[in-house]
Amino acid sequence: MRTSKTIVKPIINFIFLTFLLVSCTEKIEKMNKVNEYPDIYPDYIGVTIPVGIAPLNFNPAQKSIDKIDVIVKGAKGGDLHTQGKWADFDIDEWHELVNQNKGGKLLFTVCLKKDGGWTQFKDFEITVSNYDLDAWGITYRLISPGYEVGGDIGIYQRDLSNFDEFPILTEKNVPGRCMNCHTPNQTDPKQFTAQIRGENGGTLIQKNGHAEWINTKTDLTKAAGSYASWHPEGRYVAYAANSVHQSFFTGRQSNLEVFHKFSDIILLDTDTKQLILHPNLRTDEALEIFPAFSADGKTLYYSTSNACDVPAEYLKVKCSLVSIPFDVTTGTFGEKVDTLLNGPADDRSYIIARPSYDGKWLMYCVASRSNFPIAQKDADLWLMNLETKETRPLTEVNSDQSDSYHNWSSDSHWFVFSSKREDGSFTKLYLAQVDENGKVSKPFLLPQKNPKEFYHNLFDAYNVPNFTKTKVEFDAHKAYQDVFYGERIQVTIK
Amino acid sequence: MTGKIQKYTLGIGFLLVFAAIFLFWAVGFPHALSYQEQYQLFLFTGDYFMERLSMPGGVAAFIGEFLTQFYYIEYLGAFFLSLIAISSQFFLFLLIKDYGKTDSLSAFFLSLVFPIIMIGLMGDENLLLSYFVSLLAILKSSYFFRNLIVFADILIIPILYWCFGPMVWLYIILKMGNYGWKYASMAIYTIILQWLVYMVLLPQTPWIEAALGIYYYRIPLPLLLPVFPYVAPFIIALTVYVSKGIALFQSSIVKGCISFLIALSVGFLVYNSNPYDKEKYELIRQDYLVRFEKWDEIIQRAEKFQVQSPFFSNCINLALSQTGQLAEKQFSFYQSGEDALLMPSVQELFSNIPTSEAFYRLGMINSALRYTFDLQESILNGQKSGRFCKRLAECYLIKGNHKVAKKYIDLLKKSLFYKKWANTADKYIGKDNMVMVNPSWNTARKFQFKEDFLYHYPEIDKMLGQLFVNNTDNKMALEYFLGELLLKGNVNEFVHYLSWAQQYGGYKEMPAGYQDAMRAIQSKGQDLTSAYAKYINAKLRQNENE
Repeated sequence: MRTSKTIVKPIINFIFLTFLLVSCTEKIEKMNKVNEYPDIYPDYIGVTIPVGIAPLNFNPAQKSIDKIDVIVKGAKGGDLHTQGKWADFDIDEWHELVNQNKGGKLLFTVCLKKDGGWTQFKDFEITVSNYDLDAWGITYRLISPGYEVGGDIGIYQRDLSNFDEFPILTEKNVPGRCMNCHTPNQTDPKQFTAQIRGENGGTLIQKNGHAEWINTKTDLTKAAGSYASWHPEGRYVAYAANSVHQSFFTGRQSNLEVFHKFSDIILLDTDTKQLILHPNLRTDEALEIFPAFSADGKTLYYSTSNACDVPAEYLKVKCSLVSIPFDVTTGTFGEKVDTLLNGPADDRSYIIARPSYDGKWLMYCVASRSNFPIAQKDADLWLMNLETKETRPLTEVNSDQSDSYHNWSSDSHWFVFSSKREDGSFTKLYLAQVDENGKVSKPFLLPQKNPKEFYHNLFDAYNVPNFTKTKVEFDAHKAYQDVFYGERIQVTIK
Repeated sequence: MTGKIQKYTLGIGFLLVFAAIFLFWAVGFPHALSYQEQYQLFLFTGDYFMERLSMPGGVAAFIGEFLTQFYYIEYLGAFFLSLIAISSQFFLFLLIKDYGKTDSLSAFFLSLVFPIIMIGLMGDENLLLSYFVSLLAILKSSYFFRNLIVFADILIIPILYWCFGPMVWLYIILKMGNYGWKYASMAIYTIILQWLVYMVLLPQTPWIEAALGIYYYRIPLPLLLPVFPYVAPFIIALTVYVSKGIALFQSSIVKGCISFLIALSVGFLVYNSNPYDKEKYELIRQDYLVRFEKWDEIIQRAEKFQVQSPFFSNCINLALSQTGQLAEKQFSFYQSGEDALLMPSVQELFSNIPTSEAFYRLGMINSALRYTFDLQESILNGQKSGRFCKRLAECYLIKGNHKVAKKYIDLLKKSLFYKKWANTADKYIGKDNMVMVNPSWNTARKFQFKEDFLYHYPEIDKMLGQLFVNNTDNKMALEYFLGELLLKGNVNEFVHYLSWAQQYGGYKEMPAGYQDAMRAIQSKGQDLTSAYAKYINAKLRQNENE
């Protein structure tokens, strides 16, 4: 069960912990040694981390372990020691050690105590990257996984240097309303958009602290916008205007199929509140979905699939990955649509294109079908070199469950994605590094103070994660007023 | 001597009130207690405590939820409720005596206003026990701190507000009775206090909840603002104030009569507001009976009173099915239409319960999982449900997803009344073969669809047919299939598939319900003795009207 995100709780916790903090470190005099890696949760063995990341605390995977003792030694100097029920590193000492070993390795020596005896396991390494993570933290939506009711849904932000989580907007503040994800311009929270669905619905555009609620639905557009992407210059936002539905399987394997009855791409001019429509982006014979502007803003990537009779023809939904030129000076799209990856020809579906902000890479999802990969068990992440157009599956990060909803850090050397790898149901967030050559590191699970307890007790799934350069400033009290009683600015068609 | 008699009389009076309230809940409305219990899951964890403590009104919520878990055993729940009611009445009695300087008997009669109001208010199934815990705490504080200097309230009011929420206003109102307008400064102080808490400590709370309480009502106040719970504290305060007026009368008999009449009038008003709507509470009772598998009682009650709703039809049909009477008697009871056996998905916390129970027993585990999951997520105050968590854990075990099942089992282990079940279920984790040893889980697993296809409610009859074909031991699926064909009026298909009933149903003779349906079909609905003919004719009329 997720705990409350109020300011009061940490204060109370601090008071209680102050009383409980009676350190009692046991000296290990005798131990067995085994030549195998320790069974720890999360599996942080061999991962690469950025300087500034919160301590990679971990637990013994087995419940029967009484105690864990961990010594971390930096290849460039410094060390850390912790002992207890789980490896719980001091935040300041951790940062000091990681900083000191930037570009180097951290060597972890783990001893586990079971039935009164200690066992020392094979040491493992964690690499400290040379690439800084230019982000204060990440934003994401927490939602109950599964079916038609979102439950206690909310958009949150997390400080990546520690374990603090802050709500941006939760369902508690706008009860009974489903909220779509927070999308910043690249990773800059000074500009972001989000949507509230259903009654009193609207699209939020916040620029430099000024929030506007817009109605993007018109006679010509069939639905309000979602799955947003900002043009890098910050004037335009592309949305997919669609109707999303779910159908549910009856058997033992899959739970549900998510599909769209229709989908068009619309472009909002946030200055004039006009919608820019283009016939190639709103065809009757196809669904255009998941728009994403390139780093230079001259290209809009998106996925397109033939209009199928869904849900009956759900197996036929195969998306191609295409692009269309965009001219920011005139706010117009070109006429030629280029196909980068042909879904029907490859009998695959290519979805959620995310070009890196340095213009080098295009990361996307590949699944056997569908235009909603998070519900597809076989969804994997792939990477395209935008210069050579070479593609490859990211075997370093993919799992046998859905891996999707990826986003880049501002320097494009890190990405965050969501994965159902642990239990096929509760999506969690992973971070990984990409170097200049497109080599990707083993991903690491978003650190938590006590990861095993935290994730086991969490009944929400993470989705649509994104990096944020600084903390998102948002007045949720005003949002309540705006959602329930505020005016909506009606867009017009350009 | 008179004092002693008075004391004993009062004691007996309070005892009688206690007994009446206890019987009201334990005998009259145990299902209302079950309803409350099933929409929360009290956990014995530090996090749970901290979470409550971190919001204004959280102490009351914590105590309220702690006590509500005992509703699982109805007599225990009724006992605690009666205790709260009688304690609150007692402090109201003391306040009346102290403020009005009136005699004990009239104070007792006046204090009856509290249990009357409490019973009336509790007819609203969304009002939470934390509301009454707060009322009790505030009445008690008002009595104990009645003579404290005003200055002390600078400290007391914030503490009371944080622990019990905006009910602190009752404390202020009652104090104003003693101190008059001099005390208005404390009201201004409280407004500022609440405003500051809202601005600084409650960034994700709408102002209306910060002002009127976060934990008193299950439905968020921006969606539904109930009137009576916010009027009731004023009535209670008025009861205290009015005692001063009553004390002006010389005769004890007159004072007693007036007090009794006031209590009676409040009772009349409460009764007139019909807090226990018969149909609503009959559905809650049916749900309670389904929960504890009291199938015969469902049928017995339905023979006397039927609510014309799909929920009711789902309950009675499930009860008939579980007692082997569905084929015989389905149309002897009210059938709401095509949704009488299984309802389509409705996004709220109650309507789909009997359907999810039926899906589970049919072996449509994915559908049971979906309906149960959505029922739990529809609890708008974000609570989990012990009942639903248990069912989710079972569904995941049957599906073979032990990791997710373990999450729910471990959650239930932290509760009081689900712990034992969770500890037993935990033994199955990671041992999939053992799941097959459990008779009900093994049956559900055997009955599951072998092939995956998309659920489509308009074709529920076909799905039920497919489910039966999947495993011809699934007699419930057979009866639901044939029953659904009849509900839809697919008479040709019913006639066609009736041979399945003969072949697989294990009936000694064709069930009376099917014979009745055949008579109706053969007479083209003209056989007026046929229960099915009545149903189908009504359905045809309804279709024509639409």
